[in-house]
Amino acid sequence: MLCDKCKKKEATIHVKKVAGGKIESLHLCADCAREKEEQGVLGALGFNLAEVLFNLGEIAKPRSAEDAGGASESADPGITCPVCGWNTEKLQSSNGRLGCPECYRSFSEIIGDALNRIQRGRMHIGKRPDKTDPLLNTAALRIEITRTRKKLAELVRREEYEKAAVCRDKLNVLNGKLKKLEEQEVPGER
Amino acid sequence: MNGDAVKHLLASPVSFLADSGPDEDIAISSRIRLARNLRGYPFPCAAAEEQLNEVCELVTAAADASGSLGCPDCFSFDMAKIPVIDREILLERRLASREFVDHPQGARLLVKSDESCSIMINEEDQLRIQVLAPGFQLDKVWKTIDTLDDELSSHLDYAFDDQLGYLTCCPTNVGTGMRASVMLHLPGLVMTNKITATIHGINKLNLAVRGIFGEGSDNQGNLFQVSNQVTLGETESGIIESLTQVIRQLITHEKAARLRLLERDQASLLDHVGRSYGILRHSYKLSSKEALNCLSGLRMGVDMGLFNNVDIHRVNEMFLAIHPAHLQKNAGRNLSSAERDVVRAAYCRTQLAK
Repeated sequence: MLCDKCKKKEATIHVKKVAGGKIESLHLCADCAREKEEQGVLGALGFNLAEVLFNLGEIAKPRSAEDAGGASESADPGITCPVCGWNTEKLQSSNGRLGCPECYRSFSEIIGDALNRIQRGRMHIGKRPDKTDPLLNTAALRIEITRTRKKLAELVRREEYEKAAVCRDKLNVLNGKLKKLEEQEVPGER
Repeated sequence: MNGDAVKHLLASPVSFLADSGPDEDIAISSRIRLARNLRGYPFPCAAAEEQLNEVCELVTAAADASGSLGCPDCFSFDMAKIPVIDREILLERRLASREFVDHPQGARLLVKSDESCSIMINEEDQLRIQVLAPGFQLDKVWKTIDTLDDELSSHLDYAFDDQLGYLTCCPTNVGTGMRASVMLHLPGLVMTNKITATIHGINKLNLAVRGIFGEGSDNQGNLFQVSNQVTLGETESGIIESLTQVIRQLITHEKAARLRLLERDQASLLDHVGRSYGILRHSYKLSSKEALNCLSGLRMGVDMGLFNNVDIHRVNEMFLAIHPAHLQKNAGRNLSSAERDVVRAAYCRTQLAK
């Protein structure tokens, strides 16, 4: 199904609202959903960020449940964080907020789906509080190598050779790091 | 102390508006915010009052020990203990968010006296560290905030996960916890009807465009804030680099649009700038919206060298001083909306008569 707004991309977020016996449906791609949330449009319609992010709650069922005729099944009934007591209901009423750092583990399944839609990856490759090299695992390194390779190609295409040389050196360092890490890793792991 | 601190802030020039920065004709300011939380404490939305207070004390002690935000060069505001008008002043000065101002219980703001660095404690996240600088200089802002963050983290145990990075209250911020943004003045793109297509293009690049006061605010005064959306799966420097490239292009497009206006429809452009100046210089009643739009026209005129008696930094400061809380604080009393329009017009007349 195509997005109701841009009519171009595949709709991945499906929101339903029941008001006065009428059902309003909205099928959006991730980009248009984000845009609508920013404009406050979803809020004005009675939708909130939690529903958009997590496909949560009675008024926002996943399409598969709806297609199968599932009447009141919510996306994730009854999850409660054992550390702070935050639950699916609070996640929804607080507009997609979590209760504590541990909630990321407690709600890992639905958060994982949301991260796939709204973020560029599932692996943090940025700064770390212990100031160790962020590129200390092969997954993060491979992401950075792909990105650097693309950037190098773009710089060569634009004939910016000085910048390209810096980029090439960076790529060599990254490849060296990856090779070293792969040698250290026990076969079969990661 | 808090009352004195607000008075001090009002009396001193705001560094990000009053000082010069790169590309300041189009880029007004650059800002980076980092969201951080402490291991072992619930996020503010789930915390008890006692826990909020503990977090306030821990963060304040860490900030005191830091070189960048330590006393005596820093003000502290317990948001629940200061008058509503002072909270609104902090919002208008972009030191506090609307959410922070509306939920003052257990919330504290630490501000460096030149307003370049601040920490909102117990906003959506326990720490929202902010660094603001004039013009377009995200790299410099990143260096400053990175150092401050390092100093704080040597005293605080941040909630961090090897795979997900810095854990934040909302998963839209998880990972780097970083929002970098640049405030741009884009009257040329608005007047040449290119702004909608431009915003659409920026959105496609996973960047957000918002009005002057963030989410939900429209583009008053032709001011637009462009920021990153993605916080996980990219490095901080990668995010800043992509954003920088887009902003550079936007600045080029804005300059081209202004030149096009000057070449093709000089009379309309001069008329717009002249009328903006005329209204600000001679009117006796000015609504906030009209003032912002006229200031936008005046700023464009100053940028293009059409006025030699008005300083761009004064125009920047006028953008701030015409807001309701600033007008009332400077007048020393509450003003109705109609009274504010009169006081606002008087302020603008005085500024331009200098």
